[in-house]
Amino acid sequence: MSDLLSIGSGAAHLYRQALATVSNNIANLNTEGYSRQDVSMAENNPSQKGTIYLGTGARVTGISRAYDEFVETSLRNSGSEYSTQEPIIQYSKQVVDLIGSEASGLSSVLDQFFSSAHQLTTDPASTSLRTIFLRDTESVADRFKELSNQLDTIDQNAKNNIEYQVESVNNLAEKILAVNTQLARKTDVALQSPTLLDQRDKLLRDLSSVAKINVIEKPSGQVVVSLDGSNSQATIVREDSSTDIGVSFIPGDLSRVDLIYDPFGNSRPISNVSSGTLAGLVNFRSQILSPAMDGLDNLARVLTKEVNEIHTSGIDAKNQRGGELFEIEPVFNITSPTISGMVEIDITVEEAEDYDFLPFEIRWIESSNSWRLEDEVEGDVLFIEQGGENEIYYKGLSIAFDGDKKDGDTFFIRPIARPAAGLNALIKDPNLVATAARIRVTENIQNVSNSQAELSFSSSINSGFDNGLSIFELNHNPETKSRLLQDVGTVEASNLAPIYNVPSRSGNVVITIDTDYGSDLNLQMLNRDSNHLLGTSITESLQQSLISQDSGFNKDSYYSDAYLNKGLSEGAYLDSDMTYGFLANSGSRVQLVADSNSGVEGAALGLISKTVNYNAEVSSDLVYHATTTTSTPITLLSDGDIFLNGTNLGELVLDGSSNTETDAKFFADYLNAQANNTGVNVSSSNNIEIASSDINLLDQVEINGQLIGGGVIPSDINELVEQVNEQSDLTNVLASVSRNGGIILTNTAGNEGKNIQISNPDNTATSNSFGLDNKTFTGTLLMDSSDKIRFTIGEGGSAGDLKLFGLKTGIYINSNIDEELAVFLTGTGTTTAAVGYSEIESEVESERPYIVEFLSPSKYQIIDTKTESVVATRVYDHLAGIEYQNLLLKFNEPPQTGDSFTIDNNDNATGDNANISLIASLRNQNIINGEKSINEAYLDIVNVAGTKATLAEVSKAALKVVFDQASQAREDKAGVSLDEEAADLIRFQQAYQASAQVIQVSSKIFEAILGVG
Amino acid sequence: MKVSTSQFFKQAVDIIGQQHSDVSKQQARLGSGKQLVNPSDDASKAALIQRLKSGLTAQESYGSGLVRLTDRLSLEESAITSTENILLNIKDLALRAASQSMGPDSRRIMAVEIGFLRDELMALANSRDFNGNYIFAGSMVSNPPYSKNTDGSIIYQGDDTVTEIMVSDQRKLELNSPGESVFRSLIRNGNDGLYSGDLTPGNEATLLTFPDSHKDFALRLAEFKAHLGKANAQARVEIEVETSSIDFSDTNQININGQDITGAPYTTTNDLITAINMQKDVTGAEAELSSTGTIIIKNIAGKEGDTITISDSDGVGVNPLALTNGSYGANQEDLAAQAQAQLNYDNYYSDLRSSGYSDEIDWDTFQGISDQAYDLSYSNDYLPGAPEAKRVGFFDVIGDLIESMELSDTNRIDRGIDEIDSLIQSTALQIADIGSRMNIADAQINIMDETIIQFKNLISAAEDLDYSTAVTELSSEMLALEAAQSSFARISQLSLFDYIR
Repeated sequence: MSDLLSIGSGAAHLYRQALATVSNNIANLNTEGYSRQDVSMAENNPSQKGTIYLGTGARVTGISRAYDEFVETSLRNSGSEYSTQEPIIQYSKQVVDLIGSEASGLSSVLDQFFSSAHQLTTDPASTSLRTIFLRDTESVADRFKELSNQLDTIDQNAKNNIEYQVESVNNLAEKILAVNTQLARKTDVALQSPTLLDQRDKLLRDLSSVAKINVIEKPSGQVVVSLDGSNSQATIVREDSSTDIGVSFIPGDLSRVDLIYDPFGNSRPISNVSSGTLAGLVNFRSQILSPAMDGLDNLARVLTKEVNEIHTSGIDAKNQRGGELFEIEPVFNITSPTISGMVEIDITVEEAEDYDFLPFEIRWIESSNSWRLEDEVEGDVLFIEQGGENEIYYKGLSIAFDGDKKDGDTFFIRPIARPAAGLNALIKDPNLVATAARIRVTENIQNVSNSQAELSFSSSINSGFDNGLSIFELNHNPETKSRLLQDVGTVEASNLAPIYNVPSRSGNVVITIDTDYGSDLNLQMLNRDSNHLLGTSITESLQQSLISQDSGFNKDSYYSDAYLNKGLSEGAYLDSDMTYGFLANSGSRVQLVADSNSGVEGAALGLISKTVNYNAEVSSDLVYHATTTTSTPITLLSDGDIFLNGTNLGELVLDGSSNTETDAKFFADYLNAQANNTGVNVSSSNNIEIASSDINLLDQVEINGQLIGGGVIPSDINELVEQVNEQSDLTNVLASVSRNGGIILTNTAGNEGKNIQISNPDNTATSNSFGLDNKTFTGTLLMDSSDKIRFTIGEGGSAGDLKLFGLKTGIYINSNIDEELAVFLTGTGTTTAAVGYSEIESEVESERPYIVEFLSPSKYQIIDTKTESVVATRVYDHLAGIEYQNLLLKFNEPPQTGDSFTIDNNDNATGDNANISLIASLRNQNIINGEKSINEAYLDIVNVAGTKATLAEVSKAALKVVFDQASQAREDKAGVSLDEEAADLIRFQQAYQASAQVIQVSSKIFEAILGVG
Repeated sequence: MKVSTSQFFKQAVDIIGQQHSDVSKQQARLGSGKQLVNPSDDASKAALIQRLKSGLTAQESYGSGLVRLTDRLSLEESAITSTENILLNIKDLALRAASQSMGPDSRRIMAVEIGFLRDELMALANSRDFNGNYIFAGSMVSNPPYSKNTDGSIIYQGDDTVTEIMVSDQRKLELNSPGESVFRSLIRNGNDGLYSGDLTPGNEATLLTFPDSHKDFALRLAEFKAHLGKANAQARVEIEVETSSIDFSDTNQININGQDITGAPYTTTNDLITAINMQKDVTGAEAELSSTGTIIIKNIAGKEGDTITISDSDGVGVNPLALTNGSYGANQEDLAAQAQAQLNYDNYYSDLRSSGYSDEIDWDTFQGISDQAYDLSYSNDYLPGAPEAKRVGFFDVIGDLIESMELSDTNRIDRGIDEIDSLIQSTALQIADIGSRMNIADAQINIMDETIIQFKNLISAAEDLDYSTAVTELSSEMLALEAAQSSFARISQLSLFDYIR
């Protein structure tokens, strides 16, 4: 009977436990993460009585957690995805509300801006309309800035949130690790406390809502957690350790957020998590905020560029070219990782256009009491001494310092391309609004025809010359933008294609050729309108030939040599300084010289910089050697062939009586004959340098026909020199030992510049003791002028003529000609050329005023107003109009003979609205990427952000269904339903009561037995 | 499917919360009267509304531009209408002045009167608009476009710029009329005109001594003289003799037009030529050596076209020149042309000599001018008697009229009347032009008003709330909320525990 009792008591105990479990379930009804528990019970082992088995009751085998790993996983995953959407919706709504609102958006101020520009077109002279226009310009700039700042604030919030989310990932990871540690005590998950496991699962769910995770459950119930990303292995929790993650942002680049694994240890970047709140935030920044800010920046950039381009091409009420209406001020990101002092810096932009947007670093150098600035891209280093004020200037920036600085304190300054944030309206004075076009055309009041001219800025850009190498391409280093006069090798003459073209923006151009005396090679320089500017007189057929092939020449223009070789004072083309011949100028330069006058006693003599004047000076190559027989004169130069400083040098004849050969002195005398007019003094000399290695002491030599040494072989170079000098009276040649051991031969005093003839008594020998060729050596000329040395080629002269004086002929352009020029090499054969130039920074485009005059109904000429140069004479084509300097002039009816039209600066045209009309018409122009007007492009930004937000809302709704199902599934499995518990309660209570009855029965049985006994 | 208790509560809260938010959103709409309370409610609609509003702003700014344009045009119109009236007054005065009954004194008085009218015109030309801009100054609106020169003439200092303003997305209208196109100059054909004839410098100098006003008569005559010279040259008889065929040994004399040329035998070519030329006044023929070495026998000047008869002194055989004996003459057409040219010249010459201008022409100098001197002018496309046109400014026309009235020069007064007429005509044209521009502007204003209404309708449709729908929606949402709330209240009371007693 004891069996009955034990069964009863066992069952009572069992159901008490079951009831306790149910009450625990009820108690934990609202406990988050709680999994419903179930008592599992089992039949006790039966006891055998003979052949029968008697049941021995039931027992508790365990209290199990209602848990399904798959349900948990799917709940976690759907939770991750669901929580991705929330921040996207929340933040993008902020963005859309900001940029899409009429009050804070850009649309209304842009409308206002263009409207007031349009109002201004109706009365450009009105100061009040100008003021309104400026006010609206300012509100555009301000609105851009405000929007950019507001978006920045949203970005800042999102960033903070991202940091917070990363922090919570780390917190949760640590907590999971703590659970893992506890779970380590047991090896079987079944033995683990359900509370611990509930805790674990709750933590995992929390973690997954921040970032999607992959979980591996170990047999002990411990979990290994890694972030779910596209390709990274980022395990943040292991059985016994956890690893932090960190985040870093790149200033100015919203599209990137870098997650860093183990930021304070062995850090490495990991890709973004695939979903969860963190992923949602990152996606918001990269997919919604970044395009919106970039779009806004692009609008600011394009608006600035387009408006400025128009505004700077017009003129304002003060007859000045318009300034920039908008400027984009750089915004700086300043970092200072190595600061040891207490210094802070503040950067203000003074002249935005001077700053090149390159990052730089600035470091305090105590020893020199100066700041060291280094351009991080170019590498340029600059030291700026700190004066009394705590402020230095660098590339248009004013950098102010505050606080104590220590040696080596360094700031890294990075400009951020945030045009919208740095947009400023520059013009404050209403009279500086450039409403008028800068150029106008006026019909001459005396014009007989009623022809009215219309001026427009020509869209066709001059393609330039097809043939001929641009001299800019001769420079192999694009940085220097200039080239010293250097050989470029051999060039071949051609009457069809230019050898070089000289682009506009060229300055100090020199092109020389090395032709022999008597050669027919010459340089010819022409411009697009067939103005022959430099060269020699050419035949009509050659004129035709030169301009025939290259489409760079204006086919409607007549050839003109009116300005051929005209110098500055001779009515040059556009008053330019050009020379065909040879040119050397005097000038002045700053030079370091010894300070001989430092009067202070004891003060050391130092170097001071001083402006030093220098003369024009030329040392020629060997002069030309011409010979003739007695009484047969040779004419080397005819009258008018060569001019020096404007003076006709006249005929040059080798008369065959006083001279039968030319030498340096002969040419020096010729040039000096006009010294009073030319201002050029010429001296001659003849020095022959012989290297010691060339000297052959065993050979023989004659100088000017005199045998040197009389057959005695000199023992060394010194003796050879002595031998030469012994004959000086006869040869008129002196020898001396040169610095490097060779010999120098010169004329004796009084014979400077005379030829030195070297020969060998042995007629068959090709050389001699000096190792020189057996020939006559002419001397060189040294020319000197306090003003200039300018040889020009006259009519009948040729490039080879200057070779007489040992000079190379070339083209010299000293002033900037702002048009492209073609340089031909005419004649036959080849020669070596040398080219030098410097490139001129292009300035604001502006036109030279000019006059168009009709010589007949079919022919007109263009006259430059300032210089009165006839710059072109052309055939008139009524349909094509007249194009000159990027301006296109068209007439409503053909002008007649004598009609003239003046194109000049549009001065005092306060009533002209041409320029402001262009700004007003930007409203409807597709200036953004050539596709959209600025307002449309802005509304597109609103639309895109709005669409993304809507999309997020739609996916949120869809994902909510999935998430709800998953949580429903979990609740189905592990949730506590009061009804179910109530039913269980009744069930277990009844079972308990029944078990109690069993005990009672057994007691009664026992008592009955006792009673029987 | 088991629903856990916490799940049930959570769901109920979610649903009621959602409905609450719907109701409050609807309420915000009703409160603001807008469909969109926040742009984020429907970003694309918000963008659409802004796009429409941009369009509206643009239209409205075109509208105010058009108003300004019509104001401006009516100012111009009234100034030009006044101009026309004044010109008509001037014309009346000039017509009276032109009458033969007027004496020089009364004409002078009228000239003064016209002078005042001219000043009035100048004041009109310097009209300003309500902003103080000179309306007829082109783009140089800050300075008066017309001012008096030191010599009293009125000059234009504005420019020719025509400013245009956009009155719709496509259409541009001209805002102003530069002074030069309102107070138009005209082309004067007449005695003051210049000649395109390219006279040689020497002749030009002599012609310039003729008074300007009558130069054309002299030139006309010179033209006839040039014609005649040309016709004479054309009709001149020329006989060419090869020197090689001349018989220098022939003792017979040549006979030209019945006159023996003495001196045979002629030993050299030059002797022969000299001999012929010694008799040229008798024979009317002269000889010269041509560039090719032949001898040319031709009419002397004034005898062009006359027949030249060549024969031998003895009347027998070949003459020393080896020419066929007989007569050599010009062709009939050349002779006819010559006769006509002579007739023209003679007629015009006699007319001019007998006219009142005769005294003003230096006839001796005129006769001294050779025929050839006029060939250049003759060969150009110069129409005799039609001097090239000259442009005369609006105010200069009136100035000339005043001057001619002061001088009592009725011819010029007549010309002035004609010119004033054409000024009136061009002014009338200008009024018509402005009128048509105003019509276009009015039409444009109508079109724009319609466009604005359309835009406003579209904006209202996109932006404004349809109250009836909204109110209906609100009540249905509220109904749903109430249902959810009351059902929750009821369902949540259901619990099995209530039955465990």
